Amino acid sequence: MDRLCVRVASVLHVDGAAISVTSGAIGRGARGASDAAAGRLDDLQLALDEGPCHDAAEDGGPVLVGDLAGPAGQRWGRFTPTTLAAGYRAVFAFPLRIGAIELGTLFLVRASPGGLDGGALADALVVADTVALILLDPPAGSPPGDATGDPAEGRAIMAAPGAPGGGLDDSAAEGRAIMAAPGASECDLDDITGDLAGGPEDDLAGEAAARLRARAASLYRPEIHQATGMVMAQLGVSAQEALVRLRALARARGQIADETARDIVARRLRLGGDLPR
Amino acid sequence: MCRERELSEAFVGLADSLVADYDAADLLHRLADHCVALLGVAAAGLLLSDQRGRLQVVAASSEASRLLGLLQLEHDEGPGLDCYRTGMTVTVPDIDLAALRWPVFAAETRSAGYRGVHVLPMRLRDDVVGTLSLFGARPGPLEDTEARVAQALADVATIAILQERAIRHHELLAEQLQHALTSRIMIEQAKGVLAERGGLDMDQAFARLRRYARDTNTRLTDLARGIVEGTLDSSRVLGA
Repeated sequence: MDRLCVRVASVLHVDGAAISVTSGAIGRGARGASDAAAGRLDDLQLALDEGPCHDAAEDGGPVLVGDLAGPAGQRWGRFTPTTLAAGYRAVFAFPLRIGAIELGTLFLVRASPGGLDGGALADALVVADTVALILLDPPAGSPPGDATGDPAEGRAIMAAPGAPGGGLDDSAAEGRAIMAAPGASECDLDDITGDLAGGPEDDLAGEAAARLRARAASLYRPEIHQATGMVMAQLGVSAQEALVRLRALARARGQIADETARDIVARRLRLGGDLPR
Repeated sequence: MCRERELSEAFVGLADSLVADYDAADLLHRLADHCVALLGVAAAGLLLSDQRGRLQVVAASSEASRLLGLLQLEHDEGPGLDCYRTGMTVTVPDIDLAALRWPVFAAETRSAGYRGVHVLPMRLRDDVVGTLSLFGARPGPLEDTEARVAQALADVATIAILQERAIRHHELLAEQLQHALTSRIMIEQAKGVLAERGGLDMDQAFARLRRYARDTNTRLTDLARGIVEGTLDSSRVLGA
């Protein structure tokens, strides 16, 4: 995840990036940072219970402060002076969320003051969507679900086999699993970080950017979210677990998630079935 | 206040925005309100393209007109989308005559109590950033003068938005658009829950959701969140 943050920072032309996962999310407690300074400032917000990431998670929208030394910086009595002292003037935070599913935050810092212009903001939003998908995906190598599985299987899918103490209750292990598990998910992560890296001087352009955008675009198709709601009711699980199950099932069927979602919405496919409805 | 006075105050207010530090989200809401106050229409709503290139409902003078905006995005039909795609004004003097062209939108507009619909592009040269929809309680086109005032209001707001994008000062608009997107996704998730629990199709689920929101005077977004997060018993919505 640190490597992902390095690439995010480079493609978005900022000096540091950090990702943290919300307590409710699957990989809760997992964090990553492009460098120690960005990581410290990300952690600091959790400790102080204030800062752009705190606000982004709370309000559900991006928090963009082009100049911490200006009036916008004054809302954080302790975060702002510490960040300025660390040599950063601009901070940006993006909630990583899919409707009601809250996954975490993406935090960016830059030494020079100034906002993100329209293009950079659009890129940052695509990157935030991509990171949300990475956080959502289960650790690799786990058995795919099938259409008749029970909810325990959902947990099995999320717990990485071989991860120490892997299971819903061991958050640290899951966090490690998400970041470290080898296999399909990691390859996917490599693809994505590869796409994120682009050329050295590249903005998000060309084929790699198109692939990223296409991946993130699946977040905007209504069927995915409708199917998520249906799977929630079918299995009696949270929205997040439902979406994870849906995506795992799509992989198992060799489909893209959109196709599986359409099958679920059309009631050609259902998950579970023996649970109270 | 006489009309000329109101008109000039509206334009002075919007023009002030262009030279001062302003909140684009607030400006768009004021634009919707100005339209209702100045143009004799019953409601107004704005669709704006987000940084991801998709339309979102950013401002509306009433919940009903917000819903009509959402509905167009949901069903991928309606004068707002046509206007955005072509960059041309779309005039619907009587919604009853447009039932074939936009079946869902026409029926919903009628049941919200609106008859005439007038949609203006928010555009500068080739750059269409969104649309301004005006809903009239009676059938008939907008008067010529009204139409020109409406377009002038939309033009000022367009310039404000493009300027905001240009001068790297779009925090509030970005927040607004993100909220609009999150709200739409939550509504889809809630529709899925209701559809599965109630054995409904998605349109029926949406209709239940809207009816319950209206009956209980709850915002659609809050209702959807309650259903998805499990803080609201969905059987109450299904039983409504």
